[in-house]
Amino acid sequence: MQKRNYDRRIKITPDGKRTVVSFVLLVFFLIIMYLVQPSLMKPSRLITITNGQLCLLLGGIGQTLVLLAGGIDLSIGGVICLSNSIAALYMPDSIPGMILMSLLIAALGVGIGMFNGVIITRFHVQPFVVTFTVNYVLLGIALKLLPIDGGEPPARYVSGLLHNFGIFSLSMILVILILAGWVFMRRTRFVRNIYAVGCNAKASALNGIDVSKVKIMTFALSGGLAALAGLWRTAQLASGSPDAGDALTMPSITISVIGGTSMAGGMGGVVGTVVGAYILRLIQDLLTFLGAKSFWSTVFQGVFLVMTVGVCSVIDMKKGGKKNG
Amino acid sequence: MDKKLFWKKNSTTISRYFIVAILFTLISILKPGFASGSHIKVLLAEAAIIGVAAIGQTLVIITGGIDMSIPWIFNGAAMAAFAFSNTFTGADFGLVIIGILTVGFLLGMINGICVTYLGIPSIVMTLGTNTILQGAVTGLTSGSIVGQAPNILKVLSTGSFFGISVAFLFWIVLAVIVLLLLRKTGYGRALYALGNNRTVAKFSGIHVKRVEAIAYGISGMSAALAGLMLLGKTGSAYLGMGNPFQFQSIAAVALGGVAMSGGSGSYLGTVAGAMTIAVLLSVLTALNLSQAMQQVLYGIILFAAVLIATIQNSKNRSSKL
Repeated sequence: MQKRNYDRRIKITPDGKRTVVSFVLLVFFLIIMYLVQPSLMKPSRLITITNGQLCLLLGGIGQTLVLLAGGIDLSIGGVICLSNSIAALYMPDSIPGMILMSLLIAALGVGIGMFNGVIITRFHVQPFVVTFTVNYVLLGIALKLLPIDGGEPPARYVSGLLHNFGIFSLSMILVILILAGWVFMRRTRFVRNIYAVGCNAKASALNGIDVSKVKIMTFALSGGLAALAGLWRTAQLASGSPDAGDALTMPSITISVIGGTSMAGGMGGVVGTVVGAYILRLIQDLLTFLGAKSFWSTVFQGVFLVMTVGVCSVIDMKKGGKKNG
Repeated sequence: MDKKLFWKKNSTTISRYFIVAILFTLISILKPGFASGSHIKVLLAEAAIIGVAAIGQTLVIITGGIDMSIPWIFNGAAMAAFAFSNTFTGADFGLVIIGILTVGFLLGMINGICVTYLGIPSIVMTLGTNTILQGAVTGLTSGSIVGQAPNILKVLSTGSFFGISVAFLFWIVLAVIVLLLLRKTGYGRALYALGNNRTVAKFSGIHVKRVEAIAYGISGMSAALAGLMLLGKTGSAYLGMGNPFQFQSIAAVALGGVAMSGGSGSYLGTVAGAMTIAVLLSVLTALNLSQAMQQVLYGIILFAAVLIATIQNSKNRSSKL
């Protein structure tokens, strides 16, 4: 059974069929949105939504890569909080300074991710245990740096990142670049290896893939992307918070799964995750428009996560049998 | 020979008690008053709540899963008891407690059924349940409720019996029950069997899914019970009171030497783990560190503990094979 899946996944484009479902969902919710509130369907709204979702989207892409290789990263929220706190406190007010600071923060994220990956692969610890504990420590450090919400990133940093070019915003251009980058990357050996490792780590190792290295790379990328997400969040909110970003870990899994990425690894892709981020926002907007109170939105987050993962898992079980009998 | 075998089999668990003892001795030398009778009583009462919350977590981790939904089942139970204490008193409140524990069990069963029958990864399912309950409890109580901690819970958490805290005695009774369940019943053996090798367990005629789902049910019930105990201790229920127990319940199990991959470990280890955490928490508070530094240190210590436990377990396993 394993072998058949393995062949199928490698031959057909990895995120082909599964991504289609997420596009269908997106169109479905767009139509509902149009019927309920046509005034919200205009280009400027797309800018608002993209600015708002880019942080989650970056975290979600990291999560997707880790999930594809068969892991899970619960430290995304912690990295976002830490990066957000550092950027809000220490971002200098000069362009070279800003670039240097951003690079340093991104490097810090990559370092944290690599640490996760090395511990997980070297000592064979479950990914969720390591990343969950690391998340706890990171939240502590963020709280130490920034005891209460605040900090003031320079105005130029905020306006620079939130700049609009006509009907395009910088965030939209970034999303397009990410998608283009992924389409290009998908054909590279590195990304193929991620899929192979997620499908069947043993077979990959026998085929000469350095499984540990691939896994460490996915965690490193996830950490780096989460740090970038924190940098974006700093601009978007124009302040820092030591704990608010922690709530992003769960939606990062949700958008990956709506986008067709399998929790078991080896299936899915980044395009779906991007679509998933927009779907999540559309549903939240619908709820707000229907006058739901904020706690309903919390309930919904959980219901939606469980529902999407449940539906995908049942479909996968019917298709190929469950991994562990 | 028998004696040797006993030591070999239980070396992990026994070493945990040594760690608690050494940690405790060291700190009481450094900090006079730490080892006073009254402080030990407080420590044990605190360990009892962590230990009770970790009962179900131990069972779930033995199956190879994890339960992240403990905090809000815990919180929901405490809030419910707090709110109902106005209208129900005396023997009627006993029914309320039974009702709350049943609801806890059922919520856990929902986790278990979705994990086993729908194939949702346990971490995602229980995280989802936790969030749903967070929203639901917040919404239903609209932030704060008026009530009082019922006397029976106060006695359970803060009372003492011949100088020993009732909470600790209660915990010992529960621990004995759990140990008997794990060691002497078919259910316990089935739990270890499926944690070790699901396929083999299935073909040995074990109803794998049912056994696994019930473990989550027990976890929901023990979380609710721990919530009631904390309500008795603090005297009031508030939103977020269960949050520390997500990390603590997992940490108690890990510190107790239970392998995170499932199939081994014992509740006796978790008991030692819960005591270690109570001691650590008390030290970190006594050091007058800020909340943030406490969290960092606590996280690092537990990270190291989990790592050491995993390395030890994988060594034991490879030497067994």
